[in-house]
Amino acid sequence: MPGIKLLTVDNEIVEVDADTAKQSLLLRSMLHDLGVTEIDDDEEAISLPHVTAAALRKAMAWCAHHKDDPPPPEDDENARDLQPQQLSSWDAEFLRMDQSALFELIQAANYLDIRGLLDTACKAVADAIRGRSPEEIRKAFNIRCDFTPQEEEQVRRETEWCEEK
Amino acid sequence: AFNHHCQLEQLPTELLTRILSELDQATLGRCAQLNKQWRQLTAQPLLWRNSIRIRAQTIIDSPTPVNQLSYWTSFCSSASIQQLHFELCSSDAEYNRRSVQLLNTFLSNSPCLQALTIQGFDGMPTEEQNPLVVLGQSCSQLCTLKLIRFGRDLLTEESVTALNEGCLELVDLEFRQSVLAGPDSNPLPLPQLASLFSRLTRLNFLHEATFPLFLDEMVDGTSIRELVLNASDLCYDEHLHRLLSLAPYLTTLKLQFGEFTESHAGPLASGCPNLQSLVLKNVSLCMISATGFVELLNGCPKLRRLKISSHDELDSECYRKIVANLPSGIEDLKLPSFRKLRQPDLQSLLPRGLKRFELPIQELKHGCMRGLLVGLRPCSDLTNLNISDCDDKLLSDLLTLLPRLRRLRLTNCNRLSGKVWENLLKRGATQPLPELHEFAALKFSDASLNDEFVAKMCHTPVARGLRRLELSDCRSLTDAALVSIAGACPHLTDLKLSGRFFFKMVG
Repeated sequence: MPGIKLLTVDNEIVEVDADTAKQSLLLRSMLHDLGVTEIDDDEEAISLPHVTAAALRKAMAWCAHHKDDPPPPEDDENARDLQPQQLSSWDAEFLRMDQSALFELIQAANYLDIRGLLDTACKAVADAIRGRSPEEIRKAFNIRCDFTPQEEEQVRRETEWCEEK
Repeated sequence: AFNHHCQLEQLPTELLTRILSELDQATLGRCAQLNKQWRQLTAQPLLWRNSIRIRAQTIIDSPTPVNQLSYWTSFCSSASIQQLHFELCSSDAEYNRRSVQLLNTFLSNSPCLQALTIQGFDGMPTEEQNPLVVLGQSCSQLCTLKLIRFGRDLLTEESVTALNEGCLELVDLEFRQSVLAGPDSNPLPLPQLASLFSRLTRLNFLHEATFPLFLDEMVDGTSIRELVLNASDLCYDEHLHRLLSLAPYLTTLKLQFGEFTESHAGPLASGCPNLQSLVLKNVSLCMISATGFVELLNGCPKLRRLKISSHDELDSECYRKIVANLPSGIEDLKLPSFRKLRQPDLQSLLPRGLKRFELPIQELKHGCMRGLLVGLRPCSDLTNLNISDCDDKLLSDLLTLLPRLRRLRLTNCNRLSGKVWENLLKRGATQPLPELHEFAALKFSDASLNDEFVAKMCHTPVARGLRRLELSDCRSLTDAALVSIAGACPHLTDLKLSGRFFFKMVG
C-alpha cells in the first residue's frame, strides 16, 4: 500500500495509507494537485496546520474501518428523517473517548472534510446532550451560566412550550 | 485552533450548529437556557424549521413573552416551520378563542408549512377566522393535513374551497374522531370535500357513517393509493364496488372497526387487483367464512401484507384455507385467534418469502404450537415472530430453524424454563444461531423466570446482539439478573422488566 507523510500541528509526522486518506476530500484534492502516488523518503510531508497527531490517527482509523461503506445518500432535505438515527455499535465504541479528544476529532473531520466522520461525531455529542436538564448539560460540558436569575427565569418560561410531547 | 483542552463551547459556531441540528425541540429548548451564547445559537431559524409541537394552553398560561402574538409572529416568520402539530385548548370559550387566534397567527406566518396536525378543535369562535381559510391563503406548500378531534363547523363550504384553491400540493388528508355534535343547520360541504378527496393519494377518514355520502359526489379517484376507512361505512357492497371503480390504483387499504363481511370480501376480490397491503384492525369477523377469505386472497395476487386483528375467533379450517391461499409474495402476515387450532393445522406450509409472522392470541392445547416447526420450514428469511404458547423444546427448535430471526415475542411463557438455553448451547456448537435484536417473553409462571434463567440466557449467543429486552412477570428476579444482562448485552438500549421487582443500583 502506498503511504503518504503528513505533518501535524503538534509537529509530528504521521504516515498514512493513501487510499484510506482519500476519504478526506481535502487530502484527496491535495494528493491530486501534488501528483503524489507513493511514499518517497525525500518527499516533504504535507503540512496540516489545524490537526493534531492524535486526532489524525483517530480519523484515519475511522476511515480505514469505513473504507468499503456504500456512499452516503444524497443530501436530500426531505429524506432527512425526524427520528434521530442511532450510531452503529462500532462507531459508538470508537467514539468513546474524553470530550477534549472528541471535539478535536470533530474539528479534524471538519478541516479534513470527512463527511461521514463529522456526521457520526456530531451525533455522538448530540446524544450526550439529549435527555439532560440544563443544569446537567452545563455540568457535563463545563458551560458557565452568565444569565442573571431573572433572565434565567425568563428564558425558562419562554422555552416552556418546547417540552411538549 | 490547536488546544490541549478543547471545550464544547470553543468549537466554531458552524460546528455547534451542526450538533444542534441533530436535536429535538425539547432538547433545543433546554440548550437555550444554558447561557447567552447558547440562547443565540438555538435562536437560529434553520434549527426549528423541521418540526414543532405546540400546546396552546402552555402558551396562553405562560406569563411571558409579554406580547405573545407578536413574539410568535416573529418566531414563525423567521423559523420557516415545515411541520406543525398544534393542540388547541378548549376548557372555556375564552381559551378556545385565544387558541384559534394563536393557530391563525402561526399559519399566516408559516408559508413553508408542509404538514399540519390540528388536535382538539372544539368549535369555531364567532369572532375569529376559520383556520382552514387562513391555511388556504397562506400555506401553498401544504402536503399533509390531519384533523384529530375537531368540530364539524371547521368544515364549511368556504373553508374547504379555500383549501381546494390555496393548497394545491395537498395529497394526504386525515380526519379522525370528528366531534359530530354541532348545529344540524351546518351540513358538511359534500361537493367541495369530494373534489378535495379526488386529488389525494392518501385519505384517512374515520368519520362515522358519512363516507358513503362522498362516494356519490366523487367522480375520480385515480390518484388514490392509500385509504383508511371505517369498515361499517362500506357495509353495502355497492359502496365498495363504487369506491374501487373510482380508485383503481389503490394499493393500501386499512379497515377499522365494524364488521368485515362477505360483502367486503367479494368486491375486494373482484375490484382490487393492485392491492399490496390489507389491514383489518379490530373488526368483527362473525359474518365471514373461510370461502370468503379464499376468494379475497385469490383476487389480490399482489398482496404483500395481510394483517387481521379481531376479538372474534375464526374456525381452524379458516387457518388452513387462508394459509393455503396466501399469495406467494406475502412478507407480512398477522392472523387473529382461531378456535380449536390443532397441530396439523399449524403444519400448513407458510409462503417461502415470509419475513414477519404474528399469531398472537391463541388458546391452544399444550404442544400444538409445535406444528409451526413444519409450517415455518420454508421461511428461512423470517425476521420477526410473535406467537403465544412456547415451551423449552419449541423455542430451542425455532431458534435453530430460523437463523435470520431478529425480533421474537412470546406472549405466554408459562412452560418456559432455563433448560431451553442449555439445549441451545449444546446445539450452538454445530448450528448457527440467530442474533436477536429484540426479545420479549411474557407471562412466565411464578418461579421459572429467575436469575438462573436470565444468567443462562446471557450465556448463549442469542443474547449478544439484543437491543430491546422485555420480561414479565419478574417477581423472582434480583440484581443478579441485571448484572448478567449488563455483562452480556453491550448493545442494549431498552430494558423492560415488569411485575413486582425491586431494583437496587448496579454498576
